[in-house]
Amino acid sequence: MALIDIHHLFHSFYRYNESGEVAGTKEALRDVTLSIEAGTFVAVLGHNGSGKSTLAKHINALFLPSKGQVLVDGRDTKDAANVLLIRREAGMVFQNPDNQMIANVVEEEVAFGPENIGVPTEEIWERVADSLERVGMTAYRMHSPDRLSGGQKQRVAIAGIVSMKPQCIILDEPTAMLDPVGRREVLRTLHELNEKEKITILLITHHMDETIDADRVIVMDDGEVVLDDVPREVFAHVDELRSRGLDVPVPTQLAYELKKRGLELPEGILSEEEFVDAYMKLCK
Amino acid sequence: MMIEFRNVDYIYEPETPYEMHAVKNVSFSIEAGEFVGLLGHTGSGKSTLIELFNGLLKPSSGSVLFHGTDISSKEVSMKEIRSKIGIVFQYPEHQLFETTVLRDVCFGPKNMGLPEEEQKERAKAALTSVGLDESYYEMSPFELSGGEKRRAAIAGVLAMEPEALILDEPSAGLDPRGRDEILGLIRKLWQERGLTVVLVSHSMDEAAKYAQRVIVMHEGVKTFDGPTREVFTHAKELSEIGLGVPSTVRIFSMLRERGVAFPADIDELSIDGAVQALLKRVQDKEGGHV
Ligand SMILES: Nc1ncnc2c1ncn2[C@@H]1O[C@H](COP(=O)(O)OP(=O)(O)OP(=O)(O)O)[C@@H](O)[C@H]1O
Ligand SMILES: Nc1ncnc2c1ncn2[C@@H]1O[C@H](COP(=O)(O)OP(=O)(O)OP(=O)(O)O)[C@@H](O)[C@H]1O
Ligand SMILES: [Mg+2]
Ligand SMILES: [Mg+2]
Repeated sequence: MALIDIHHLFHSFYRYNESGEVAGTKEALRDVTLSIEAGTFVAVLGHNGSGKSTLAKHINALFLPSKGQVLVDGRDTKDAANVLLIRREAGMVFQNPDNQMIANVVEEEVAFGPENIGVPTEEIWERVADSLERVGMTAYRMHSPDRLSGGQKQRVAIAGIVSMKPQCIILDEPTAMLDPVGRREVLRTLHELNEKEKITILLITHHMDETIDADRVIVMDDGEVVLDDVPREVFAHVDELRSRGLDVPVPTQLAYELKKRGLELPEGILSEEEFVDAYMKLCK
Repeated sequence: MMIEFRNVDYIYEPETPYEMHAVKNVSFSIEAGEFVGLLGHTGSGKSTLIELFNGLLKPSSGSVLFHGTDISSKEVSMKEIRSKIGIVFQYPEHQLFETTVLRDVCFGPKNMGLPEEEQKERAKAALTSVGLDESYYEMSPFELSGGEKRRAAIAGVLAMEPEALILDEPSAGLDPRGRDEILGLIRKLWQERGLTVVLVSHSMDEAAKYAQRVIVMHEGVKTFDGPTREVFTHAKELSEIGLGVPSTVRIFSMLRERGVAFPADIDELSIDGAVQALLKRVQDKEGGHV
């Protein structure tokens, strides 16, 4: 059985006028069917408003289907008795970390999750120290989350989820405000958690280059899943991705432009190293 | 000189355990019509600098001048400064507060005392330019998706038609098309109307693509300040301070390391420039003159 199973999921947002009548409807998800195996690293791409955050909130049981079904480890999100278990298993790092900081000190902020799920005290502090180390925020242990920079907050939020050791972590644009080195560190952290601890990762991002090492890339457009494949296949659709508001990594774009102008480069170049290797062959 | 920082220091909560010396003796000046990239690791002081730009924060020491006048002096009207220097803050949530998207974007023009007709005209034009059509006008800003909020916040500042536009990580959360379209629009305003632009970014590719000059902050100190092309020759130093260089620059440096020579004057900063140089190198070789 897959860890996450989504069947024909629909989600509508309604807007009401003063007299309580429906004044507008937005179908944010339309007939989404997906299944994600435990241990996979999945990246989700899609234009602004395509439904990525809405989908993530369904997996975390924050939203319930207007129609269709979401199962996390076999548990239906619609059954209220499952909600806490589901949130423990599928931890979520939200799009804006500002909204999820509640404690006065970074350390407490990170301890909050494990405390809530009843981890013994000594182990909590071990986990807190370990997760802060993983995101490079040990030095800020005693700082107030309010006073951190945008990127620092983002890392603390990730540590807060990592400390709960969930089966699956859903991250909604976790690197949007990080500097290049910070982004690389977070990506490395996520891949490590995925490889060593077999944590399933669902990474929502607008940075194409962050997805090239994923097992799978899902592309959403206007509430629907329109591409779902390994990165090499997805990024072969350069024109289609552009028409859907997206892009391809820089090395892929260079190879695409050079091929259009007659150079013989192989298909499926994603990383800078791959590009350099392929280009070297033309210079021999 | 449009904006000038003279030996500016900023200390948050001085003489408390939380004291943070966020900006240290920073000086620079920005001429009208410049397009400046402001780079730096997280926590390096970029947003603090930005809040100093229009008087939201007062320097702990040193001074900030706008057209030659110290903005903390009494004869300066903060209201006027704020309509001339438009700031798009790092968190769009911090500048969206009206009940509908359209009202929110009208807020700036309304505050400037423009007639209602013109407020609406400007707001609608600004919303169209950031890709939000009529179906968004009556939505609450809080119902918008992350990238839609960002777009609305940018529209709100564009609608004021400021002299200088300061953007704190405007592309965070935007999809690639939105990023290209909105920054493309800002570049167009810069070219056509002589807008002055300061763009804070964590994307080296973006800074390379748009800025003529970049200022790099590191732990509150201004570490580099020069033409974009020149600053990005310091690959090693930049990566040591949390940054890097654009992907194309990295690719050329890997190729050079492996013995492929390129002329010194190629444009490594843009995709077009890179494609030209890469193509020419192979064609020259095939033509027999390497
Ligand atoms: N509470 C709400 N009420 C009404 N419409 C909403 C609400 N929340 C989201 N929407 C709409 O649903 C659509 C999908 O939103 P969602 O947040 O899932 O997009 P997204 O793919 O995460 O976008 P982004 O990349 O900008 O974060 C958007 O068009 C948005 O305006
Ligand atoms: N209100 C505050 N009180 C105390 N310290 C603060 C406050 N705001 C920011 N700081 C600290 O000042 C330093 C500079 O923060 P600033 O927000 O200017 O950085 P930044 O370069 O914008 O970072 P980012 O790229 O993450 O947004 C950081 O170390 C931050 O923790
Ligand atoms: Mg979103
Ligand atoms: Mg900032």
